[in-house]
Parts: sequence; C-alpha cells; structure tokens
Amino acid sequence: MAILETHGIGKRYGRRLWALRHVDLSIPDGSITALVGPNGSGKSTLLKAWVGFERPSEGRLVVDGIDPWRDRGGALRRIGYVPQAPSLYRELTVEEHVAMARTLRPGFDASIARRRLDDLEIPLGARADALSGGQQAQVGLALALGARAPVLLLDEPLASLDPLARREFLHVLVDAVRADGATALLSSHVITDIEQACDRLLVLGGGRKLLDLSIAGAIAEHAIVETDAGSRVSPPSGATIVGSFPGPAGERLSLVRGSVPGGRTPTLEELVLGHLAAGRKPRPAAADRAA
Amino acid sequence: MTFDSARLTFRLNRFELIAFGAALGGLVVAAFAASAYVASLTPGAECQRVFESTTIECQRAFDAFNSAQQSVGGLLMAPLLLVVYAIGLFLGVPIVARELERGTVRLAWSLAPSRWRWYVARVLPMLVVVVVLTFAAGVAADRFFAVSRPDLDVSASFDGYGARGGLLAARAVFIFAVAVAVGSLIGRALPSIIVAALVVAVGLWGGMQVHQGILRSEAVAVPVNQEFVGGSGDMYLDQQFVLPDGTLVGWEYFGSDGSGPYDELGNSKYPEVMLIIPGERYRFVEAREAVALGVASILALLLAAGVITRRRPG
Repeated sequence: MAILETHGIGKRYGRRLWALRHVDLSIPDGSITALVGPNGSGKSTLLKAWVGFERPSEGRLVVDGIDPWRDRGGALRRIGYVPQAPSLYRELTVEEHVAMARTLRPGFDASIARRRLDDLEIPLGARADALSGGQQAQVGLALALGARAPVLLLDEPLASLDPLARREFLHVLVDAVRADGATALLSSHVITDIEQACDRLLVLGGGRKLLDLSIAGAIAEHAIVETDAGSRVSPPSGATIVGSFPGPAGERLSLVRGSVPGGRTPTLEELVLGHLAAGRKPRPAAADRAA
Repeated sequence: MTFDSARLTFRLNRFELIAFGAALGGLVVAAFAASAYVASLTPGAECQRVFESTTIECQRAFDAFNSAQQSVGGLLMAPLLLVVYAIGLFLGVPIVARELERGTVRLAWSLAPSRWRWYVARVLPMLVVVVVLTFAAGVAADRFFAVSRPDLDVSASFDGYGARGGLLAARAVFIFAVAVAVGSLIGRALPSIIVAALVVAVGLWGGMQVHQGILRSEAVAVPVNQEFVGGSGDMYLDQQFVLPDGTLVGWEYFGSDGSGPYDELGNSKYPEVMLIIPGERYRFVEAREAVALGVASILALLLAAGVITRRRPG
C-alpha cells in the first residue's frame, strides 16, 4: 500500500521555471526510499510539497491519504521532517529543542528523542551552535523520530557530514524505521552510503521522474556496457540504452536496460549516473549555438 | 500556551529583552525616583497662597522646584518616550523575521501541525512583556507629570497627552503589532525594522490626523480673552473668528484683498474664539485613542497570522 503519492504533480517558480513536472509517484508503506538527483532536480521541492511548505502548481499529492495543502495539520501529524540545512536554534540547548518540540507537537515523545541523543552521546545541555554538523543532523533526526510519525522525510541530511557521521546517521535511521515500521524518503547526493540503508531508488532529473524501482529490481533490470570513448553502442534487440557517462578511467560506460551479452551488473552509482545522463537536457551542437 | 513555550520564547529573544528591559526598567525606576525628588521640592502651601507677592524663601523654593522639574524632565521623559517606541519595534520585528531569516521555521513549522500554535507561543509572551513594561513607563510618566504640575489634576488635563498613562502602552503595542506584521511579510530582520519604522510613523501620523478631525468636531469654542487653557489642562486646537452670522472662520477665510480680520490699530474686527477640548474629557479621549490603537494592533497581528499560515518557510 502506498503511503506517499503524487499524481501529475508539477511546481513552477515564476512563469517558466518548472522545478517538477508531471511526476507520478507511489512510495510503499514501510520502505526506505533514496531520492536521488542533481541539484535543481526537484528533490527538495517534492519533499517540501509533502510537508505543506510548497503548493503544487499542478496535480496533487497525498500523505497517508491526506492532501497537505488542504489539511496541512493532518498531513504534518503523519510526517517527521529533517530539513536540508541545519535549522536548529543556535541559542537553545539540545534539551530545549526537545522541550520546544513537545510544546509544538501534540503527542511528541521526548523520551524517544532523548534516548537517541543519549545513545549518540550528544550532550543535552550543549547549545546547538556548539555541536558539530553531524551532531546537529542527529538532533534533527532525533526530533523527527520523537514525533513518532509514520513517514519520515529527510532532505539531504548527509550533505555536510563526514563518512563516519553519515554512517552513524543512517544506522540510527534504519534502526528506527525498521523498529517502528515507518516509511522513510531520504534525499541524498551520496549514493554509496544510501545503498546499505535504502531498499528503493527514486531518481529525479530536470524535474521529472527518471527511475522508481526497488534497488534490487533496478540493478537486476540493467547492465553496464563498456565502450571506447567516442564509439557508439548498438543495443542488442530487446535492450535499450538508458544513458552513457564517463567511467573512472576515461572509458565510456553505457547503462542498458535489459540483458546484454558482455554486459555486467551495474553498481548503484552507475545505475543513477546512467539515468541522470538520460535525463540531462541535450546540449545544442556548436553550429546550432552559433546560429 | 505553556510556561515552557513562554520560557523558550524569552530565551530566543534574550538579548532584546535584557537590553530593552534594563533600559526601560531603569528609566521607570529613575522616573519614580525623580518624581519623589521633585515632589519633595514642591513649594509649601504658604508659598502657593502668596505667589503674587512671594517672599525670597518662596521664590527660592519655586526656582529649585522649576529647575529640578525641567532638568529631570528633560533628562528622563524624552528617553523614556524613545525607549517605549523602540521596544515595540525591536521586540516585535525579530519574533517572526529572524526565524524566517535563519531558517529555524523549517524545523518549527514541520513540528507544529498548527502554525497558529507556534505564532501564539512566540507572540503572546513578548506582547505581555511589552504591555507590562510600557504600562509601567506610562504610570511613571503620569506620576512625573502629576508632581511637575501640582496645580493640576492630571487625570483631567491634556498636559503631556500621549506621553504618559495607558496611551503610552497602547502606542507601544501598536508599534509592536505593526513590527510583527512587517517582519512576517518581509522575513528579514534589518529591512523589517526600517520598513516597520516608516509604517509606524505614517500610521501614527495618519491616525493623529483622523483624531484631530474627530476632536475638531467635538471642540468647544471659548472667548479668547478667557483665561487661557494652557494652564487649565484643556487641549488647544485652533483660534477662529466669529462672523456676524455666527459662523466660525479661520485665517484662510480672509482673502488676499487686504481685508484682514484686524483693523489698522491691530484690533480684531470680529470676536475671536479658541477651539478647545475641556480637560475633563481627557480620560475619554485617551481611552478612545487607546481602543482605536488596540483594534489596529489586533488587525496587524491577525494580518501577521494570515501571512504566516500561507507563506513558505524559505
């Protein structure tokens, strides 16, 4: 059953700039989904629309059956949200953040938040501006978990964390989600880390959905073919080239949907890169630009 | 709203609260102390009785009283008024604007299913502080005016109108409410302070024009040769001439043909009257302006609430 859905959602800024366009999504209950895409692909806009921070320009979206723009309070009761930039009050201590969450959110479970913070040895008496970036992210996550919401939306919480802090953050997230049976949608640029934490992959590019599958299914459905730079790959019958991108040694890698003789299983990063390459707008040729 | 939420709001605005609380609290205490000092210098009843032919001792007593009243008044009352106005502005703007600017609303608004709850928790404790501090300032100013003019009943006098009493608090609350609303609309603290100051200046000036119009419609005409008003607590509005048909006209009535209201000897051709509001109406006029400012403040705070429920957190 889907707990997060969008139906033809679009969000336009100004007259022409579409951050999202015609996106249909269905995130199953109990899943941990990685939301991946380049800057400007619409990841944050999508999450903010579910939180009721952005009003869709077209289409509609629901959280557990509730349209956040029509009933923002109802939708927010079902959501724990970790915003993109650290949004803690620098004057307040960690304990005061917990107290504030309790005053703002009916049913907020301060003991859950405190336990998470204790486990991570984050001092409750420390001011937010004295915490490291990783600790601030953990406080944000602890507050979202204390909300005991069935849905967790995390907007690039790993962006400013070092590898160890990222690993700890994901460990806490996965533990909590699995224990509560919650659903999590985690937007991130760091593909290698999310592989261990997430079971689904959602790729956005240019405001459109490029891929929405389970990670295992997505990897099984694709193959990587290596070619020399500049050469063209002709896909065998029954297979289609999704996108091509440079490999680490300068070789040309092509992500192919379907099985290909000589192809190998893609890594998650290659899977994402292939789809992002497909989603990138084609650049005009030099002659066209000159004209 | 709980004690916890009020405490957190005070923590978030600790600098402004300490700075302005100390400044205004100090001025209020100083105003009460100064009132006691000036009251102690009030010439005795025997000097009041023989004022016309006062003795050297009484003259000295009057000089000491007037000197103390003027120097202390100049030193305290202007800063008191300034801080009362500033407190509304500087406590009002950051409540919403600074949170929008720093992005902390993203956390708060995602936690709070009701932004009203968040708004009330932020605004109400600060509003209470503004009311308490500025009302105390109004009472202190009232007390100082009372001892400065022992010959007047300050509850029936327009002396120091708007600079004392409950009206001072009402104006501070109006400034606070406008500051909150402008901060919510602009979402950045410094530009909001500048814009709110302009809006408040225009709003108070416009309000005074409307109020003057209302007062003129209620004014009483008294002969100009009657003992003036300045010492009686009445509010002087205008001086006019009474035409033979009883119509009241001002200077502008007389044309540029040289036919002014005075003859060659400088005597008025027409009886002159002053338009005044009798001092007995002070409490009513003060309360009416306070109610009008209260209504305007509620509208500004509702506007801010409307903006908050609709706006993006940035």
